[in-house]
Order: sequence, then structure tokens, then C-alpha cells
Amino acid sequence: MLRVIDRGLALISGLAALLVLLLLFAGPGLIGAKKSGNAGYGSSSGSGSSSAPAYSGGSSTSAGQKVFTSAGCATCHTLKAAGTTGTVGPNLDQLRPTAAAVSSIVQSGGGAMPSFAGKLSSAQISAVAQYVAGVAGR
Amino acid sequence: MEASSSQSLGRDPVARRLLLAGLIGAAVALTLGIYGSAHTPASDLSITLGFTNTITMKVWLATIAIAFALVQILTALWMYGRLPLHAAPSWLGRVHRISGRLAFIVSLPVAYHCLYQLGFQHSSARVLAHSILGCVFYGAFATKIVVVRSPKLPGAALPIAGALSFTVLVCVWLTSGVWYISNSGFPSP
Repeated sequence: MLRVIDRGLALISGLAALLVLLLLFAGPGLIGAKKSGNAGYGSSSGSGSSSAPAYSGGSSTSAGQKVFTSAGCATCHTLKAAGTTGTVGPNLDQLRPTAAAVSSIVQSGGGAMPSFAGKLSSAQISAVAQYVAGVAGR
Repeated sequence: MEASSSQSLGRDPVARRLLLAGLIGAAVALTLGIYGSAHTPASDLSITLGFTNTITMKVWLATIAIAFALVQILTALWMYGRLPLHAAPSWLGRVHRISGRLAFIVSLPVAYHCLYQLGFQHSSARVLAHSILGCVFYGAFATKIVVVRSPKLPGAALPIAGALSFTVLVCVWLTSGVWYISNSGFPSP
């Protein structure tokens, strides 16, 4: 039994490695893998994942919301308060991260999320962190 | 002196095999690193494999790979008589190989997403370390496979190659999965 599993997995691992090599060069379209269709991180031109109201200015919440929608967070994250439904990254309403956690991951990146340290100022990162921590899950 | 030692290295079949294994591993790691640097990150690839989102998939699969790698280490220690247990049963070698294959297989979607969507990044020390270690892991793994399949190598070659692969994999996980979990908690699948 173990011998059969071992041999089967040997074949599967070889084929899987080969498939990954092919996909690296041919792209995920080779197997019909889903691309989100978003313009990418740092862009606000996502494919309808954001229906957030426009920035009204003034309060730090509004500033944070503006950063959230304009920096591309909306393309990947669901956040009910911002009207976004992205599914590439974690659902922020479920995750309910602290401001420190948001600030850290926005600055350094993590998992599939790139660093935004070169794209956002400290004030913008602080604003979006406070905003997300304040509205997530509400 | 140096010329004579390199001549003897060239004549020594064991040294040649060890050198070849190391060179193959280095070539694999370098190729991945060059691909990650040269490839334009896709930024819009979504792979979930049944998980709620991509990051959740990556955290879970990386953690599962670590679990299988731990089985590999424990079974290897048992086979080498380094655990206070009775003699290793005959089926343990199969379990060792199966756990290694499974660790490799579940690591592939994670590596693919990292390389294709993110590429080789250096935005922080952690991200740079993760990028380098990710490439080095597959190099170390390739070296281990070559060592496994090479006869008449010194007895220490295989455990060293295996321990190196395991250590690098743990470091890859520490700089990504553990970092993510410590910041955002363990994601539900």
C-alpha cells in the first residue's frame, strides 16, 4: 500500500514540478487559472471591487478611507464600511486587524501583499491603519 | 599546491559527485532568483485551491509543508537511530519518502504564486530574506534529490543535505507564514 502511494506521489511530484515550470513561463492561462482582472497593487482602477463613496476630506477617517480606496487596498480586500469586496487578500471585516498590524503589513508587505512603504507616506499609512482598525467588522 | 589539490578533486569521483550535487542546487536556486528578478510580477493572479483567499491558501499550505517536513526529520532521526525508540520498522523509509514528496507538492502552489505574482523583492530585510531563502530552498531540495540518487557518497552527505533543506524551509516559513500569523492571526481556511 505504502509502495503504491510512494510511487504515485513520485509521479505526481514530478508532473507538478513540470507543470509549475510550464506555468511560470506560459502563464496561468495555460490551465485556465483565474486572474482577478484588477490593474494591480497601487492602482485604484480595480474591476468594480470598490464602490466606496468619494473622499469628503477633513477627518482622519475620511483620509484613511481615501487612502484605502486610492492605494489599491480595495482591489484585494473586502471592507464593508468602504464598500469593497475584493477577494485576493483577507476579508478585513472577518480579520478585524489592529492598527499596528495594518500599519506593519502595509509598510513591509506579507504573503501576496507587496510593501507600500515607497508608495504611501507615514501619515497615509497611519491614516489607513486607523481607518481599517476602526471600521473593520462594523 | 592549489593546482594539485584541484587535480585530486577532479580525479576523486566522490568529490566530483558532491560538487555536481552542489552545483545543480546552486543552478536551481540561481535560476529561480533570476526568473523572480526578470519576470514582471503579475499582481493580479488569484489562486485559492478551495481556500477563502490566496493568502489563506499560502499560509495553510506552507504550514502543512512544514508539518510534512517535520515528519521527514523525525522519521530520518528514527532511521539513523537518533531517537530513543526501538529499531526503525521496515515501512518507515516509505513514510519518510511520502512525507517528503507531499511537502514538496504542497509547497509548489505557494512558490508559483510567489514567483509569478510577486517575483524577487527586497522592500525590507524580511522580504529580501524570504526571497533569497525561497530560491535557496528549492536549490537545497534539488541537491538533496541528487545526493539521494547518487551511490557511494559519504554517509554524512544525505543527512546534511536533508537538514539543510529542512532548515531553509523553516526559515522560509518563519519569514512569511509565521510573520503573517503573528501580525494577523491564523486565517480560517
